[in-house]
Amino acid sequence: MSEAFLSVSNINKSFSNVKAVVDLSFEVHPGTIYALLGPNGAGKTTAVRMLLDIIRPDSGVIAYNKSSDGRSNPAKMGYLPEERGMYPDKSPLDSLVYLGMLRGMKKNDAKQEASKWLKRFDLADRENDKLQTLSKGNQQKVQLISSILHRPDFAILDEPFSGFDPVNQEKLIEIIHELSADGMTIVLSAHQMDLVERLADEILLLSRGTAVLQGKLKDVLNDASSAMKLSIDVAAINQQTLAGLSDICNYEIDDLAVDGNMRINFFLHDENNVGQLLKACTETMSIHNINTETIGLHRIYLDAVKKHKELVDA
Amino acid sequence: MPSPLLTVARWEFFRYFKWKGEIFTLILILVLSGLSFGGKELISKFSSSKPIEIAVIDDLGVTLPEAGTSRFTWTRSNEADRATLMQRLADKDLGGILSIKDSTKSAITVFEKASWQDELQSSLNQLLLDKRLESAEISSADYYLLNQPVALEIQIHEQGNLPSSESEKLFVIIVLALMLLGVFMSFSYIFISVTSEKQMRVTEQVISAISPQTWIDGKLLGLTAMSLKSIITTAITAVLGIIVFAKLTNSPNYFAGFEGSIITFGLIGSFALAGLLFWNCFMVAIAAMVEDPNTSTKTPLMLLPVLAVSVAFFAISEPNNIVVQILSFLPITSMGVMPVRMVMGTVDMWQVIVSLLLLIVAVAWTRKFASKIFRLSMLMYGKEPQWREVWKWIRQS
Repeated sequence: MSEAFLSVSNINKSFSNVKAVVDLSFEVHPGTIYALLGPNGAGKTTAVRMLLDIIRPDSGVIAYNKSSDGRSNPAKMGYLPEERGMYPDKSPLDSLVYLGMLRGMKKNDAKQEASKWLKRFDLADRENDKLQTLSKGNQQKVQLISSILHRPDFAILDEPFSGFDPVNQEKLIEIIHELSADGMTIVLSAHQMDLVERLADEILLLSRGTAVLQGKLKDVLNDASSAMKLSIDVAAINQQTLAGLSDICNYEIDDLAVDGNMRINFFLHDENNVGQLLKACTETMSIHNINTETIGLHRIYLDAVKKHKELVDA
Repeated sequence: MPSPLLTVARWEFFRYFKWKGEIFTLILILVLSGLSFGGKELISKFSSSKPIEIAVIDDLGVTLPEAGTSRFTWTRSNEADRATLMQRLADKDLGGILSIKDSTKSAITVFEKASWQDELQSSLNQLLLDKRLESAEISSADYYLLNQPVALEIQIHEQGNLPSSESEKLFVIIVLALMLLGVFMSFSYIFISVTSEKQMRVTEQVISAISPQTWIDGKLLGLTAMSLKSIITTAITAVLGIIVFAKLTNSPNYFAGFEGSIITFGLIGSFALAGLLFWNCFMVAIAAMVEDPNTSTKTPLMLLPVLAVSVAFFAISEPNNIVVQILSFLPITSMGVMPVRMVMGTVDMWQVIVSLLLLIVAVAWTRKFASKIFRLSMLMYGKEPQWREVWKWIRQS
């Protein structure tokens, strides 16, 4: 594998008594899409701010390996912050040219690129209108353009799909793929797991500032794809049966109750004996419904965060 | 590659520079300054120059002045003619009917209130003076003697300070007013610029592209240039307004006798520029701390520079006072006070240079701590930094 574009080694960051990021390490390789995931307050924004050198880690090292001094070069970086903000009294074109020039573009180049991108996002006829007259979705497009206008080597897109309708979400997926194919390294943070699954090469899942799951997406999914969730809705749970089944597979009693039933989720792998499990359940419990589900990133995310929470709380 | 500093400065400048607004403001200043200095003359110029006839019904037998000695022509009349006179008043053929009861009481009937009625008072005093002197048994000669002021000739010691002229005083007032304008403009530009960017969450976008120091420097440069532009255009337009209106209305030349050297103008300009930069650094830091401009307790601090410049107005009456001398060296007040001393008092050049250097050092120091506060405060959402924290940042900067 090629040398990492970005190497993060054991970074920590605390604010007063709150540990925002704890001993975090990862590498992002050139041209890949790296998804930074986690629930609200997991430490993603703090991590991103450290990657951008907006704040410094208390300890640990962040190194951009293509940079001579190892530090980020703003002219070669793009950033779409989670906290969106532009100048509402200015036009999209003026705002984009300004932000492009701050990233080192010449005025004419910035103007040309901005017009091109605005056209691609169907905003060519609005390029001189005030931003405040644009819809939230259109403002979001302008904001997104500002992060890639200067064709950076590395872009951090925090919640890029927020505010987009499904049509524009698809367009954005297409663009992100295109930029990645052109060699742009992208760190992506999003809550739409189905979209992340379609984009990411690697993922890092944070919970309470700690990495709880990381690796290549296909490996993470492969590990989980051999698993299946079997949900059984029963009128009443027979604890003795469940105790007997604990040797066969993992299970959880779901809080979700439908029509007064209880739901038991069994997490099965290829080696598990499904027949034995079903036999034991049908003999001792009145089953109202059976459902199976392949485990995707969404489920993996929830399980990993839940496990970590239980571990920390314990 | 464009300089990020100049890009920010240009952006900040043109965020507030609007041609239509500029032209409207300049016209307004031109008219206002003209009216302030030549308004009275202008009104009288356009007032009717036709003599105003006053019909006098008088029981004392005062001697009426001859026509042409004032703007009034006096005609003697009597009560029997009052109805005719009233009709003439209604026809606007007569200015007024003046009834003199005795040497201390009179009444005038007019069709409407007009500016000439104020002038009538002095003419009336003159008209009745003889009768009043007569009743007080004072001769005209004694009266004029008593009214002569005791002559007091002020002789200045050859090494002493020559008194300031009215034109110097006017010049200093204009300079201070322009400085106040600059501080006010800076206050509004900086407050809107910084707090709105913080509220609009533009901060992260910009700060990921350029360093906070470049951002704050660009802001200071652009917004100070905008304030200076306001000062310069206002000064030129106001002076132009005064001169043009003075010409039009034959008003006195208010600047006659004022002698200012290029060095004086240059030094005053330097104090204005350095002072603005000093206070702008301060205001950027305060504005960055403000989370919500409507509720923040830090907002009133933004008016501190206005107070500091206003102090200089008190220096006008006694520019060589010891307190004024001290204030002229303090960077928080020297912007306004030292120019007052330079024009109206006596001050050695070394004092001016030292004061200016102190102000420049203060600018450098304020810029340093302001950028530290700015960098940390601009990313602080939802709360404002405590003064304890701010003090810690200042010590660290």
